Amino acid sequence: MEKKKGMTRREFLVSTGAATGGALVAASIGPFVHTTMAKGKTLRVCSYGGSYQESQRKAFFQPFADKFGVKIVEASGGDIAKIKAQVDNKQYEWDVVDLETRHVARGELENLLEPIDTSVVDLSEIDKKAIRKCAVGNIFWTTSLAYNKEALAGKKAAGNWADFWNVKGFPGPRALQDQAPFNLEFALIADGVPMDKLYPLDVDRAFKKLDQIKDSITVWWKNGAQQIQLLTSAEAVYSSAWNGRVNVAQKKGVPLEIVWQGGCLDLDWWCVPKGDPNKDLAMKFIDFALSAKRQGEQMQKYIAYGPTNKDAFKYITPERAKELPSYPENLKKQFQMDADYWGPKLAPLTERWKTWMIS
Amino acid sequence: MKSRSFSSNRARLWQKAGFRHFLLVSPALVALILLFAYPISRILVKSLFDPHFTLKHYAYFFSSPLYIRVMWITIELSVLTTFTALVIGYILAYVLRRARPGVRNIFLLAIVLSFMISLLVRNYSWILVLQRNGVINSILEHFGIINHPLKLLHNKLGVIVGMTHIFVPYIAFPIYSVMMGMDLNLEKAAQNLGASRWQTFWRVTFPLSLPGIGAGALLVFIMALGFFITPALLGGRKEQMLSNLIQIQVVDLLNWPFASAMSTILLVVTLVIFFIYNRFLGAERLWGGVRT
Repeated sequence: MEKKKGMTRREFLVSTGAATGGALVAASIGPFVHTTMAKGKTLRVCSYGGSYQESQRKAFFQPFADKFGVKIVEASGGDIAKIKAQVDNKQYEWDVVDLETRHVARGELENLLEPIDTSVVDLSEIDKKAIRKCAVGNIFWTTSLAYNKEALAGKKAAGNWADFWNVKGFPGPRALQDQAPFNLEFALIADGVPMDKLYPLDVDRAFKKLDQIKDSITVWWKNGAQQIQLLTSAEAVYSSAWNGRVNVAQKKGVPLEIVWQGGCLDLDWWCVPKGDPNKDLAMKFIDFALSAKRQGEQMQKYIAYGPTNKDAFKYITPERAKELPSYPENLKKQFQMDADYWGPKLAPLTERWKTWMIS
Repeated sequence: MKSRSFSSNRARLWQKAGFRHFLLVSPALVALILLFAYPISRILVKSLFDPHFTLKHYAYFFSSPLYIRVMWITIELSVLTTFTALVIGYILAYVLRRARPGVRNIFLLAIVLSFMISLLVRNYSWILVLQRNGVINSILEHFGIINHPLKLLHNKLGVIVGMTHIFVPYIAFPIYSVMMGMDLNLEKAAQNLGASRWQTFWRVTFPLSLPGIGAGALLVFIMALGFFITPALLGGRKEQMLSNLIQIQVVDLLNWPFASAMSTILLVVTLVIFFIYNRFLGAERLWGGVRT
């Protein structure tokens, strides 16, 4: 609103610099373009990079581009702050964004995301847990207890969060993530709260339980690469970790194990920034990427996350299915992160978490 | 006639000294205003209007125990790392000044090379050196000096080591350039007049290198205030930096007005330190010190 017109135009040009002239025209008259005019258009997708985005490139981006003659421009590292900047200034850099739950919850609270167009996106085969007003789940992933089997040197491994809290019974350096979400839940599970009765969280009880283990945690990890580095080097024998990363390390021969019991099932979501002129094509892409066949190929061949399309397991071998978070046997042992609980609570609980950390 | 030549003279003069210089400086000036002054003023405005004028974000910062504590932790870690970088950087510059040109060039090349290596790579290298079964602990255990690994990482020590490593060149170079401009005969003269080596250092060399110390330390301290990747990777639970909390407010919580207030407070701390420096050492020494 306060931005000067000249700035807007230049930033707009920079953001679409790689796109063709046709795409520029298409983007500026976006609201009037129908998906039948998809040919020659550009779809800008933002995901999280690395082997994850690679799996999406092979399973979704390339097949979609080939089938509809659309050019896909990729970006990575999306978050709701960058979407807010785009929506506030009406300069869209992304049409489809892969987002974590906390960003989706915040985005829905602040009206920054387009509602999913159910006339385009077929949700009939999609797991109920993966359907929200402004987002559809794209993968299930799990944050759970993982350990380095070799570093235990034959000692019995911790099998749940109560064991993780039992520092004497299951010795070894430990790590957790430096954030409130997940950890409060894990503490309550360790304290005996049944997994279906976690929310709303008994925050005081969770922090009290965390007090018990605070000084036994050698590392509070901050990013995804760190957890695997810690476990691999046995700097931490036990750590909370993301199942996909653990799986990649296992395939490389690192002796890591994941404990599904007490894991926190979470999702990544497909979203469209509010007011994106290219939203019709974006919805069409989301529908395409949600199909059983596409998800089945992604999970079977490229990455060990869980499909949100219930029929995708038809395209996944039984051996592979056992490694995935939404495999029914694994699913039973986990609880789902409650995004609507965390949405409004994230700010106060993050402050309380950080206060607890430094004291 | 006279007045005309005077005015054309003046115009020519103005053209020579002022306008041309202004032209030369203007690209940098425009870039600074567009990329620096404008965004910073926007941050200030954002912190004060939500949507009407309010000081509530500043009030919240100063009433919350979390933010005050983290600000002190940030300042403390910045002071500590500036000090260790200063000691190491000074010794390095001192030795380099007196080294043979061949040796000196190898050292200078090594320092410049370390500039070119990514911050993350350098942080992860320190993890390999300092971790529980890392290089240092393995060597000490191998020779039976220790039985249990020392805790060198994920605490204050780890942060100070990692940040010092990054900051040493920023301090060593200004001191080195000041020392290169220093006449070594002054030291000889002092010793000739009966000063011990220690006296020579404290009363001749050290005072002459002060501009380099001031410039390097100021630069590093201000950089340290905004650091957060290294404390996040090498620190423990208590090594939380203000910039880390700002990032959480921006990215996860979308509380941009409060994040702007926090950034402004950090900026004010920086300006206060710059002001103190300017008051006692003079800002022109910053540039003069580097040049001579």
